[in-house]
Amino acid sequence: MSTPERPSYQQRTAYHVTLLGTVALLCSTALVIGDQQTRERIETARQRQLSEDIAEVTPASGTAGIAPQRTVTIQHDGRAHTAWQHLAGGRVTAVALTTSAQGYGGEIRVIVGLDRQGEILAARVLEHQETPGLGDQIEAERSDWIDAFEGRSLANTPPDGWAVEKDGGEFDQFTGATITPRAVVEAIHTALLAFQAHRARLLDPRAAERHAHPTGSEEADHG
Amino acid sequence: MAETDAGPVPAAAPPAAGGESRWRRIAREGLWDNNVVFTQMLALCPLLAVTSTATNGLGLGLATLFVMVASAAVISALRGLITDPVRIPVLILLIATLVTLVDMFMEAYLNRLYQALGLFIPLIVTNCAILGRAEVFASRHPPAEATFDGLMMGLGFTGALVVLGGIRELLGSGTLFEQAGLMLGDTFAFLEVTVIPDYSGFLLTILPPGGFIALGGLMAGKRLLDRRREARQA
Repeated sequence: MSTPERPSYQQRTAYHVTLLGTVALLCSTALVIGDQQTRERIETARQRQLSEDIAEVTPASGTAGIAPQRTVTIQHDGRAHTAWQHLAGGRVTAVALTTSAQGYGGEIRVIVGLDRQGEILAARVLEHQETPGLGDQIEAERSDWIDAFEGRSLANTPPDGWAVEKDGGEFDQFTGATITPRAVVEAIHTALLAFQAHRARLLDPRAAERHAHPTGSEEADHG
Repeated sequence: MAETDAGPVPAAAPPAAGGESRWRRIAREGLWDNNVVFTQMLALCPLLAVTSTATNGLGLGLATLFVMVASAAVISALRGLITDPVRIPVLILLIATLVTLVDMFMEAYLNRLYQALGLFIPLIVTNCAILGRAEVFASRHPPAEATFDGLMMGLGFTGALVVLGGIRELLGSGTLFEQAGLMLGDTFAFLEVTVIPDYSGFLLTILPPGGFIALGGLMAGKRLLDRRREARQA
């Protein structure tokens, strides 16, 4: 199939450049519109997901008692952690704390549920960019690796136990993906240390503040 | 060779010998003869990764189908304007924008499916079948034919995803279209079937090696069918 001659104006450099620029502009516009149209629904979906994540790591029965907007933000070791308190009879019985660490493909965000003594009730990975099929074993749906953290605390696991077995610690790593489990162990350890340092505030039911759009992310919103 | 529209672009190829309409030929090519998976053997990575259940396969298939149709339509409409030196960047820009819009849409309206498919939605951009077909077909044919071709290729791809997903799910978990209502919406809930109750599961089929073996089996089966059809026509 022969390609016929293009009209002369299409053979000029200025045309190619303008074409590419125009297409880029149109595509950007389409994306901005798309973003605006979907932003609210995506936010709602994330809130719902956040409530479910909190429910998974605290003794809450379902998401009914969870108020994702009432958070306690603590600063520890240069990082911010967002926490939600589980209240029963006016007392804080459990705390869900977000934490993160740099994994292989990017930041891994984890939520840890702790009881009053700082013992882990459960941990769940919220977000990650790890390799599918390898690093994604940290997800609760894919394997029960994350269940190994249940019952652990700073009291029953020494400081150098908080590492993968390869690094002399007590936690299993999976073949072919050491960096990922290492990051998750580090993140959870950080959460425990943060809890220990700010325990009084975290267990005080009056410490929570209302946020309009809590995201549980480390770059916490301010308002 | 008849001109199908004014402009400095090549006209559509004439109908195949024997009077088969070009629409039928496009349909036959996309669905079977030139099937993205079974003949062109493209997009095997997402294919194997998401076909552990038929529902996920269907979900990714529909997302890819939309991108194939929309990109074919747009690229074909602009084919008179797109010049060689910037051809690839322009095509990729258009395809990537469409995929991003699909990604946003799915995160907003099909959130569970979005979470199940995860990275493989944005990876639709890298699906060779889309850019390849745009180069070979959409940029050389008028919009009606290009859109129809995109639709047929997309359906062929979705078919491959659903069939492979179905086989792997059936053998691996004993169900078919598990969680279809949850992932795709209540209208799809009727698809859910538990074929083998209390099935302990054949893990191999859900893991990648099982996927490869199943795919190989399907390809062999297709070749067999083609050969029989040729023998009958000879």
